Amino acid sequence: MKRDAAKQNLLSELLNQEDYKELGHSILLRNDTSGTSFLDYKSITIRELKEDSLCLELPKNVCQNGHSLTLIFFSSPLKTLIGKFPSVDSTSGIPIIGKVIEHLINEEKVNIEIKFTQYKPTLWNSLLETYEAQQRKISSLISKVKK
Amino acid sequence: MIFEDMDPKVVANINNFLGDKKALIVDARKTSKSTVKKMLVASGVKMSHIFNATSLSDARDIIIDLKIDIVITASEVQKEKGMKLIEDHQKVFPNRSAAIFILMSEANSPASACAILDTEIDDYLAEPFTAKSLAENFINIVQKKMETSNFLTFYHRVKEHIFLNKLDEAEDDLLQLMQIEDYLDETFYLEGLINKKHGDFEKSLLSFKKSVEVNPRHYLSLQELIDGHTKLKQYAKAYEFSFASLKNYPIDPEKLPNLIRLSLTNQKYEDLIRYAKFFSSLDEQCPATKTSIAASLVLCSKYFFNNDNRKQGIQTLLEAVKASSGKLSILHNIIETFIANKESKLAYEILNKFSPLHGKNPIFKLLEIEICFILEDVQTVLTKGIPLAESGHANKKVFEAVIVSSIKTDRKKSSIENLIDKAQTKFPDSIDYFSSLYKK
Repeated sequence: MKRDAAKQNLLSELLNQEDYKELGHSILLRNDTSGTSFLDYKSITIRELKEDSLCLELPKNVCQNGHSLTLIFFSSPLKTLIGKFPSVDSTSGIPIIGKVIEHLINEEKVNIEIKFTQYKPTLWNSLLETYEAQQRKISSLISKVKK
Repeated sequence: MIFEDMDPKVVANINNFLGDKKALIVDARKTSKSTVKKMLVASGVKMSHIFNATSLSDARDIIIDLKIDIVITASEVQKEKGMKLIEDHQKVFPNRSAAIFILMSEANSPASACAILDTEIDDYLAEPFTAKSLAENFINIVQKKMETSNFLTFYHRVKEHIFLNKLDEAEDDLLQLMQIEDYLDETFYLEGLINKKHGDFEKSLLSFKKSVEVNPRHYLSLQELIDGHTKLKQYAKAYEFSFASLKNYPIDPEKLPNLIRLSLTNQKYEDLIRYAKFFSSLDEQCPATKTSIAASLVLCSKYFFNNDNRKQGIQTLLEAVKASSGKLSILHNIIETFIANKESKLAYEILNKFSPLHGKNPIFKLLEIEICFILEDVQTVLTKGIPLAESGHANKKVFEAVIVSSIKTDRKKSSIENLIDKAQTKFPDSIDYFSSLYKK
């Protein structure tokens, strides 16, 4: 986050995009048990990333406990509108298949945990690492200031 | 858990430190809690010492009644800001040497974390987090709290005295700190805080300046200098210290509008063009801070309009609409800016676009009448404006619109007089103005 601004004298020249960018992924979801797709990725929030599972918040009625889901992760923001659930074999995103092991209703939304049954650990671990690196950036900033 | 890779003695010390601590998790959502709880237990907090709250009022009661040592809160708890709880926690533990407060937030950019830098909040956990990040961060904070040194003892004591307004005690302990040469930047910063609490504003700025001379990157002193000089209307100085701060740290997105105002007061107009470009490019990448960006874009657009750059003004305002996420206060500002700059048709288009979302809101209704009046849509002004005027909900502009439109359409004299009467009752300082409308 240090900048070489020796010759600069305008505040606007010191704004660095990297500091303000949020890290996010858009998820497309197919409920393999009910045979329905959920493509409104803006309604899905990732809450927690675990070693071989994931916690999401999403609208009610997308899935139930025990349902099998296929998820495809894309870097945010998604640049194109997706009208159809992509093919898992040819997608540029990260596909993961899993089972809903926790389903908690929270007012208008539900919080679910999906335990992975088919996924590529290397891809998943690198995604985890991206979020951990973002946290490290934040922690390093805080440690410069806090005693 | 990360403990497996740590020295067992260190782990034992951490467990020992946390063994008698009470923790509170504040989150209305049914996620993350089990992971946080698991991490706390693995770190040595007893299961029976971990409490949950789903609202700030419950959290406050628990913090005060049970003297909670560790608070881990979501940034938003039932539409309230979780970080407000630091005030309650600080009342229970004015000495922060062993108390822990962690904020979990969806906004995960480094800049967003700046929101906690000038508070007593110890850490910022960005969501979504991993169990590893959570544990690493927590252990780092605990280890920091376990550190004991002469400096830290006096540092926390001085801050505690300042918080409790015991300024004589704070000054005594500050004298002890002055002996420790390695931390003069912190000492001068604390001296500045004491002077500020004494009400000696100028002297406090001198102390903060000394702190920055020792350490040009001292964030808290830089912020005090920016705020202090802004309050004294010494905008060039405020700009200078903002530059020093921004060279080393990002700015809290919520403070971006302040940055723009500072550029405006310093007549650094080139900044405005760059800000507009920068914020437009960020829009999609900052979902959690979009509204601050939208507010910043509105400020930039006002500058463009005021400087006859109408095209860029319109373009920037339209970018602001995109970033507004439909937030009423920002849309209101955008629409008012369009109206003020004689772009009523665009204002009306935006109003219509967000009508399904805010159509029933009184602020929105007033705006609609205001625009229709400018566009000479007399019928809409009367249909929608009269009920507002009759019920006393109209503002000055709507009263004016309804009265003038009534005159134009030759409504009954008694109806017009009734409207004027209502307007004058609501706005007694404008009695003559409303009377003059009918005379004309």
